[in-house]
Amino acid sequence: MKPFEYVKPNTLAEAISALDAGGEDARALSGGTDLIVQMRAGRNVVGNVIDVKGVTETNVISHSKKDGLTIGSSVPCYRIYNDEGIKKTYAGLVDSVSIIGGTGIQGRASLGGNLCNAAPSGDGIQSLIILGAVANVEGPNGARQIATEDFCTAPGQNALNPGELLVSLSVPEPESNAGAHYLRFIPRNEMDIAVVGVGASVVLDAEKKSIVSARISLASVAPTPLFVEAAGDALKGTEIASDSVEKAAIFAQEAARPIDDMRGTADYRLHLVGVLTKRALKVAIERAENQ
Amino acid sequence: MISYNVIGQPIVRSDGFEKVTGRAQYTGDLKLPGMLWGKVLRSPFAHARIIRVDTSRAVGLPGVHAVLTGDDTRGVRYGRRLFDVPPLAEERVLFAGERVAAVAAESMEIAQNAIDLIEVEYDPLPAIADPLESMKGDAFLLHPDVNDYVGLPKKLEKVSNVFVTNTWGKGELDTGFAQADHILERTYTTPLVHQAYLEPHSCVVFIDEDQRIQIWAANKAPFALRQQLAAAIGVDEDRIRLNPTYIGGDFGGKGSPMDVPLVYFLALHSKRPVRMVMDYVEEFTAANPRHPSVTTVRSGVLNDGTLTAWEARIIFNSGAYGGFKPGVNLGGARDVAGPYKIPHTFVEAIQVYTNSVPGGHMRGPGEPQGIFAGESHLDEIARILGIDPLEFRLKNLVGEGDVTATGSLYRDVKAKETLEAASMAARYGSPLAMNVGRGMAMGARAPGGGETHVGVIFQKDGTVVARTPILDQGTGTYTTVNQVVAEELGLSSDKVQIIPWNTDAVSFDTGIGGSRGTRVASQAAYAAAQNAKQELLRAASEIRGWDPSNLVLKDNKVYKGNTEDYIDFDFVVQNCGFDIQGTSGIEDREQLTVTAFCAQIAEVAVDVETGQIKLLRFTSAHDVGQVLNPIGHQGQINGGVVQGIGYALMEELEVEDGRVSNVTFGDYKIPTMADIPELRTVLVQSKNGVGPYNIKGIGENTNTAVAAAIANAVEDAIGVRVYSLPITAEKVLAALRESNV
Ligand SMILES: Cc1cc2nc3c(=O)[nH]c(=O)nc-3n(C[C@H](O)[C@H](O)[C@H](O)COP(=O)(O)OP(=O)(O)OC[C@H]3O[C@@H](n4cnc5c(N)ncnc54)[C@H](O)[C@@H]3O)c2cc1C
Repeated sequence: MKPFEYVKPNTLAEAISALDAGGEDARALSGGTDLIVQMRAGRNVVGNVIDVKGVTETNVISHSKKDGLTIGSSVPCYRIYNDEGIKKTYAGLVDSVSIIGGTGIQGRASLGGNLCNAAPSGDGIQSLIILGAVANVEGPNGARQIATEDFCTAPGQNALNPGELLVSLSVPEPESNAGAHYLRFIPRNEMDIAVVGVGASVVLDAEKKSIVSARISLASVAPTPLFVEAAGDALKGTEIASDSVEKAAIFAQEAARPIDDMRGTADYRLHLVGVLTKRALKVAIERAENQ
Repeated sequence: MISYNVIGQPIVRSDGFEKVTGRAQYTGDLKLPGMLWGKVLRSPFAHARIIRVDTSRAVGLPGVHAVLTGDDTRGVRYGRRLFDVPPLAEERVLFAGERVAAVAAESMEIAQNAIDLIEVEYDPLPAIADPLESMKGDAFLLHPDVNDYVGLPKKLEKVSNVFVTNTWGKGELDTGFAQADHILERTYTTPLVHQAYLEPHSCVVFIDEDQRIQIWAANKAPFALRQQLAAAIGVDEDRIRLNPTYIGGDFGGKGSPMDVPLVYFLALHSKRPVRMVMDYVEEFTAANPRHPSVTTVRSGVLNDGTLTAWEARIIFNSGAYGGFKPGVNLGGARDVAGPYKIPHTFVEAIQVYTNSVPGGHMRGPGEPQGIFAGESHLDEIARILGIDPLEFRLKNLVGEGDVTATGSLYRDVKAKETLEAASMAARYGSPLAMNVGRGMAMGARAPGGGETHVGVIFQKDGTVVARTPILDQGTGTYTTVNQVVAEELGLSSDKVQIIPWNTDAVSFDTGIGGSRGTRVASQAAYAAAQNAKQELLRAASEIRGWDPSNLVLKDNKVYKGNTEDYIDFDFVVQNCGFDIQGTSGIEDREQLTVTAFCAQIAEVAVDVETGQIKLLRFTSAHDVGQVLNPIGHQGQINGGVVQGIGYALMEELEVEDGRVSNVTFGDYKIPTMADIPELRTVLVQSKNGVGPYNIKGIGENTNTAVAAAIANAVEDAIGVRVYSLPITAEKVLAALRESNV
């Protein structure tokens, strides 16, 4: 690992000015489970590491019916899946934070880091997208919000400008009769990277017979996490008893642009997109029915 | 049953405390005054001519003490038996990862910077990764001079990339096939896999003021290494001393000289001690992984399930060199024919040079490859005949007086008992859910023989020191020696301390390998303890003037016959005026007439939409003698099974354009705890074993049949067979689709 400067600011303002001053090769550090690994392997050469775990705003979890859920960018996975309110209301988020790495990794890894790292395989990103989460960003030129489906721009690239920090993630309070689920296919049972991942959320009508709206997002089948609006739209207004789930799966497959790599061939991945989309939707619908 | 006090007890490991407290010193921990770091520049090409190596900028870097290229080690070749490996490539590189230049510098960073400053101009050449291509008559030769290499078992009539062939068999194949009602031919492949030990290869070489070559190395056969190095660099063995060090895991992979010859040259040129530790990227690309194989089995069988003929050819991809296997070929290949009474057989194992990572030993060298093919094949025949695989095996397995397919005759044969025990424990035959299946496979292995020595020295404080030239690489040999010595001297295990010897201390030790550790070390420890005990009794008799022929050692006391008259043994040690000790040298290389059977049964569930396999349960039955330590014994079983699960389901070093592409443990998958199902073990007790305690080996047998059992369970679950390891979800799905068209 190449030598680097390390600072740990205590306030948001200090963190932003350190990030801004650090220039091109400055990086924010949350859990470090991506950043440190990449620095050690020489894949990411960083001159200034700004540890943002000491900043209050990046460590909050707040939840209310009115404002929904806000999770600080550095909050590690274990705090998220152990939070009673989140467990009750955001099962689709717990799905992903409880499978990232293993217990050790979950003690450090954050949702914010998962999103900023912008891996096509990032599990947390998928849950954020299907739940309609937005990223709260602050930089030298002020604060702004970015929809999580627009956040990742290329493998390892995100929409943040130099000097900008991801402060927190806002997840809206689910509508009534809503359900969500994320699942992935991996060769072993833990500590693995999604060969394909699929997240799905649905909102059912009052009778719980048909689908009012749906969101579907795919991992590891494109250069970025892939929000498939068409697949969700195909479900709108359809009855849950119909073959709409199959149709949505076909839309998902059409949107996917997987490649061959050591984790699987493109063909196999396409096949998995179909299988997992159906499974994700099935569970999401069940959860909505049980609301 | 004989009752013991220490033997058979769950004694904690002799090296456990040092290891868990971090005090155990491994080679990489060693610090010598003035020690330098060695680093290697490796070829990015699978095959290329080296046009030019420019080291001038590296030489000029402050802190650099030596920069070597193939010119500095020209003509030197080394290996475990076949000497075909150069410390640094000369005219050509033969695999991606081959060493091209090396540096010794004052820090790892400087060494790395120096490596980065070396410029190499290559002329890339066509490369052959596939052994089947490499075997063809028109393939270019990787080693045109193979017939001149030291250690080649048999000169080749016509030089080719196939450099060694071994065969086994009996009867007349034609007769056997003529009798058969059915003939089945299938081909099986197994991948390149890494042993995945925690500690990478590491060594320190230091030429001291007496010109002795002092070495510490992650190598489990120090005396063999001494011979190999002496022969390679042309010095007397006496000049070389291997010093004891802890070895952080082996699984067969820590028997090669690896970087020791090169680091010797770095130490020679820099006139400093030099340490080299491979990183794991280097391990994955350039150590000595398990050989990939392509095996074709052709069998003949009668309608009633009697096997009449068995023909098998195993092609091992040796990679660019053959120097990392002590037998030049892998003898375990013969197990493709298994412990079955087949009258007409022929098994052929060949080693082929290709432009890929040189293969080495890993847990049962040749056996997991052969058994995957053989036991997969047996299951398929049974299913074709409509006979249950268990019944089919029981019909063909050897019993007392039967000769195995490749001609071995054993006594006290427990093959059927072992399989039946596994089947009971696995509840074989009980109903299964949809897409769930059970599959079985068998193996047999007798521990190898060898030579070792043990010294037992009584200490004045009432404890005992046991010396051994064996370096415990994690399998528990120190604990074995401890228990034997404690047992024979009537002590508790905590009174015995193990201190390893360096190679000056005794004449030879074969080293760990071939499941020989317990067989050889337990006999040597027993003999040394007996000798030490006689010395103690003699000393006691001298002090007391007792008749030496009638003394008894019990509870730390020497008793006069059956009387109550005794003398404390520490009093004897303190007052006899000389050191009380016993030594032993054991040479036991005999081919054993007893073997150890293993039967394993996997239970899997298959997700037919994704092809994913979930292992639900795994049962192992072992035919054992006296178990010296139940914790260590069970540890070998569980560890072997887990490693076998990895081989079966996920492990593979993937080679793209001649280069290993998955070079981290993120990409090279080995099982995690979450992948381990319930493991069941049954032990079938046998009275016949080796040595004073009737022991059998357990280190390798546990690992060799696992993949075949899982492949067979998959077929039982969903009716399709995967012929290549690892059995990935994608392969299962492809097989399912094929079966549906
Ligand atoms: C063994 C292991 C297993 C893993 N398994 C999984 C898995 O199953 N699924 C999965 O998706 N990932 C996995 N990962 C990857 C990683 O753990 C996750 O992506 C994790 O969520 C990253 O969070 P972090 O807090 O550690 O991020 P860090 O490493 O701290 O940061 C990641 C990136 O985000 C940037 N960043 C961090 N915080 C901010 C901020 N507030 N503002 C702006 N930029 C920021 C960093 O500069 C860096 O570029 C695994 C990693 C390891 C080592």
